[in-house]
Amino acid sequence: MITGRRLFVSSAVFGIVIAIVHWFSSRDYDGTILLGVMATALAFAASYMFVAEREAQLVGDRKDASNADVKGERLGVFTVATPWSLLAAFGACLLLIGLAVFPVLGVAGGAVLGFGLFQLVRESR
Amino acid sequence: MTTTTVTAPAPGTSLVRHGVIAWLSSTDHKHIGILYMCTSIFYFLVAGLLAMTIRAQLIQPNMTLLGPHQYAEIFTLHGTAMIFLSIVPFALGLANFLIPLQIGAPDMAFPRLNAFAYWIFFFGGLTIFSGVLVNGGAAATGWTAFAPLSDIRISTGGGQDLWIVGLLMTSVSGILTAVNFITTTFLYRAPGMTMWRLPVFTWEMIATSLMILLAFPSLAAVLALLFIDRNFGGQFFDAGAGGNPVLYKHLFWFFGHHEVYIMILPYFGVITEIIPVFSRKPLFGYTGLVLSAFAIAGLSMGVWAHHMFTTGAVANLFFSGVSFLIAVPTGIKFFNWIGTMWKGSIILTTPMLFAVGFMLNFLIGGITGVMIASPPLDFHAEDTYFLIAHMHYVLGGGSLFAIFGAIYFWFPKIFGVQLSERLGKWCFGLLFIGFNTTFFVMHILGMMGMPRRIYTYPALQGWGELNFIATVGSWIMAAGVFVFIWDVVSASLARKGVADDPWGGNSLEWWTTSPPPEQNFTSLPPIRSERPVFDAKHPELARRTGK
Repeated sequence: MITGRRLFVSSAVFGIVIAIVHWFSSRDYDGTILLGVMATALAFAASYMFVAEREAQLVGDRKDASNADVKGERLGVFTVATPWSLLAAFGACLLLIGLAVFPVLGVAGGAVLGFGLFQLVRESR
Repeated sequence: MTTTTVTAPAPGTSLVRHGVIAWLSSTDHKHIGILYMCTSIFYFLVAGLLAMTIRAQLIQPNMTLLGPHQYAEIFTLHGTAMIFLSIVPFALGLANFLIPLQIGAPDMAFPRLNAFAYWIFFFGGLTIFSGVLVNGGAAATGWTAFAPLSDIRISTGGGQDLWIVGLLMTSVSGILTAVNFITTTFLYRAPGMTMWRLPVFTWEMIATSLMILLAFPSLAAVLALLFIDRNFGGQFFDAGAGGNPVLYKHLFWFFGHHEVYIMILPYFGVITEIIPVFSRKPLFGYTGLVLSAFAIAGLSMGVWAHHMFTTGAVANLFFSGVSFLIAVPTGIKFFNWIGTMWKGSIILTTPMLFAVGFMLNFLIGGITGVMIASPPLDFHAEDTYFLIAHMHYVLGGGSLFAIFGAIYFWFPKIFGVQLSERLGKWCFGLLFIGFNTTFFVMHILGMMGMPRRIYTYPALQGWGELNFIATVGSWIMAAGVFVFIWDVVSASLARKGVADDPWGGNSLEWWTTSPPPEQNFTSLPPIRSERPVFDAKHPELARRTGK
């Protein structure tokens, strides 16, 4: 996690620096705003990494960790199959095509997407 | 819902499920990876056929095989399919398959989200191509769809709208997948797999994911604004109503130039995995390779407007300077690859040939990239075939050669079947000769002034001979692709078994069976370096190198 935090912090700092350099070399609002928003997003992710790092002690971060250290540990429950991801994606597709060419199709797509997402949320509990 | 609790599965347990329903509903990262790769290869073949049609139209002056609108539709679909539906998704598919295996994880962090991302990409591709069925035909504005060309008053057909929403779906898919990759890599590493022991391919995918998270929202935003302009009376890009078409270029290229690196960084990772294995040496400069990936990702934030030098609306000095700087970390990668091969026991297998081919082609693409990063030269080359040559040397000679290298390298692991070395070398030879025959002459055509995106040209210009050579080259490439398909089909039918580690690989995917079981591993070796499988199989050498 330390490496991850450093990654995001250094990216955010670089983003800020390049936004400042860009502004002083061009006085261009569009580009500077783009770079500023990007640096802000990276800073937001970096700040989350500080919080996550306090809460997580990852065995993958320990250089000397071995399989014996995690013997019997449950890694979690992994879904191996669900039909709802496909259905939700199909609904999203209908919704967007409907917006583009045929509004009624969009309404049906919205319903399918909503149902698919509802099932995904229900299933993940 | 079917779930599996991952603890310690019994050795040899086979949880692999078969049948169409199993594939449609699977959330297993390996299945999703294979689906991504197969879909992207399908679109690669479609885009290749479209390219052959383009080359047939341009084989000699005044050809009438296609009309101007048909030609525009075809090159738009060719570019869109290659960039958005083939090169990037293949990398996402390969990473889907490999990342959990390389870090010793049982699956991706968000399996359902992973499946959703794949299916929304799949439907996005179909939506883009469905434009051929509607009135007015498919989108015909190039893969960039610049405003005002893509405005409703000029591009009146529904195909343009379907292109927009299809691309929107693929961009959402990319964002979701990037979130999954970063979360999985940060949180699901096996004991001892510290970040600085990750295989370089996984590192490159972290850098790629970061760029996707920064760049794809910009694409989604510009597509949404364009869609509003076209369908709901918006005026974001309408200069006559106070909008700004240059804003479209800013937003598009803020995505678009990141996209170039999104298309190449994963394949730098592929090459970096292949070269040490077939040089029989440890990777030279692991840290340098990782840091150079992030240097490229970082610097790529500040180069988008080098596509806009000729607008006169951007700071050419700034964007030119940063573009030049990107050559430095790219050069570091080349230095490290050559350093890895230096005094190694090089074995020229098919994957290694593709890796070397990648380096040669990408070098030409990189050098021409440095040339057009200079505004005075770019002014001359803008919108000519020189740019087509440069782009194809980077993405065709680079990414596509790496894709073939990756297929030949990991095919035994993915399917448990070995492809033919003899046919593989024929495939490489035909592709290498065909590729350079097709695209090298385009540099000269560009310097002679041939503009891109023209559907025909008069004989007086003197471009006929070079275009004929380029078209012949495309036939040679097509023969190479045909040999590849033949190889895959014949190997799949023969189904000769393959060892779990046929090449003597370094990273964890070579530790498990070929193909891997559903839970990926039944055991893991101690992880004390970035090549744990080599260390476990050759402990005497691991000790000698201080691991």
